[in-house]
Amino acid sequence: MTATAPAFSANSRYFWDGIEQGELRLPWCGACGRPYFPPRPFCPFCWDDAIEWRQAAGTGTLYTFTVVRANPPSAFVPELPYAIGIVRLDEGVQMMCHLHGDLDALVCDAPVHAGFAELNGRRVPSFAVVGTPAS
Amino acid sequence: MPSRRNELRGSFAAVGIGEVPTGVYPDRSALDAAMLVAREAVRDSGIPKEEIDVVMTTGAIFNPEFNADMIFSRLVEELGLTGTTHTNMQVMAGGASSSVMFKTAGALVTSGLADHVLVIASDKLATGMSIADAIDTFARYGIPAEWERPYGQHFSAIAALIMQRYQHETGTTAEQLASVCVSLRAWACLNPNAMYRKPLTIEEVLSSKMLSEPLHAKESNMLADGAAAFVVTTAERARELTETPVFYLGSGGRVTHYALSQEPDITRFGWAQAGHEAFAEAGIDVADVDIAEIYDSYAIFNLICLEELGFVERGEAGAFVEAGHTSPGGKLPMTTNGGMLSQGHTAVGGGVAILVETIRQLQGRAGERQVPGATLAVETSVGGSYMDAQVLVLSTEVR
Repeated sequence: MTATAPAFSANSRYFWDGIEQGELRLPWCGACGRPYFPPRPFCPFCWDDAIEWRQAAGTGTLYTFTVVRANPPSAFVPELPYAIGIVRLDEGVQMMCHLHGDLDALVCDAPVHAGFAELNGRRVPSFAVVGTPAS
Repeated sequence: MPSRRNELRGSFAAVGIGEVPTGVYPDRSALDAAMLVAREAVRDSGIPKEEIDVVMTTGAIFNPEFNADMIFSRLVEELGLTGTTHTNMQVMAGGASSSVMFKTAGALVTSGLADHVLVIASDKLATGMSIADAIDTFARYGIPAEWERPYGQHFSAIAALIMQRYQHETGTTAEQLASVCVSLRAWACLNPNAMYRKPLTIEEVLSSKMLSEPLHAKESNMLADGAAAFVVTTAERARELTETPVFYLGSGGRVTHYALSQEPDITRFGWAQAGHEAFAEAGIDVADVDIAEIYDSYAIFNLICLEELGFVERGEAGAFVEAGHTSPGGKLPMTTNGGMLSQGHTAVGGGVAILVETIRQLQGRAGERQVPGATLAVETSVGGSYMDAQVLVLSTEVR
């Protein structure tokens, strides 16, 4: 399981603790006021140490996605097929996520909403498409 | 700080190459393969082995022990270079190590810190690890443990995520993507060192197993055993050694992410900036280029590179490749050894094989697949989850 278990640091723990508690949290820089992802020991933009954690709105768009059908990492064989993607949150950060709901509805730029899923024995952020792409 | 970049054009060159056949070679150890290509490259260069003063290796993926055991030092001893080689090292930039080692070797010889740098890559992905281990290995390196591995991210999925968005933005068809594999296979059919030498059709590619939508099995690189080496020296020394030194004319690079999910534009990456930088330093226009030796671990990357480097307009690369323009006899020969999709993927060595092929083509020694009259080439490479864009402009002429 070493291949897939998140390596926790003080910075990542707050994010994953949030997921366990049903919250999607993002770090914001207390100095320059910008959100960033993933969590880091200091702001990648201005290098200030001040971190403010805020709950994300959980809304965004689907930048890209794939449905994994075969040859996944060995720990994920029982999960086949599974969908993953990159979402662009309305706060302005990108993150990888699991995707649930109708896999046929997946389309780039579709609006998505955050939820959670159990994947490979771990609770992870999971988004679902909730509409059609803005034209 | 004033830049000295403008002094580098034409100041160093590759003078010798070595390569063993790529494929499934259970009885050929990675160390033996490294030694064979090192000897071949040094002999090919005409440099007495006692004059190799730096030995530079890169990282191998099949077994971390191979790196941790200081392979760079072991090679110095095994090759009988002890006592004359003053520095041994490992330079690792993932799949981009080819271009990065060439630049690093060039910096050593032009600064005077070295006279002749021997660069070696060897890996054993076909028989040095099980297929299951290989799949898990390519779900680890270059993929963040906290932010992507928990979702089952791996290299096939990385390619698929990029294809999906690229097709969405450009309208490129599945057939056009598959045609990249067909074009590369046509080159591999002419390459005795290639792993796959049977012609391939678009239908065969698209009827192969779906791995991660929309990526098919035959659109994935083929894991292989292989090794390649080259020697770098100053332009002055190179001219004493050979009629056809392959000179450095320019380079460009951009690192745009570590985690794929943090890349701002997964349909472009940093190729436009890297290409612009390299072409400006070389003083060339994209139309001058005879061969595009593009790093091809998946078909999508050839299309993105062709467009972003300016060979074709955005969204036109698929039709360009499908029309046969990058295949043998075409107007822009591309990845002429067959690349990782057909010669075989030897991890970092796959990129080194493409650089060695670039040198071979420019020296007019590519046999059946020789591109007639080729004097100017672009070589590209990229590491990790397409984290960077590295471009070299190489030529036998300093124009």
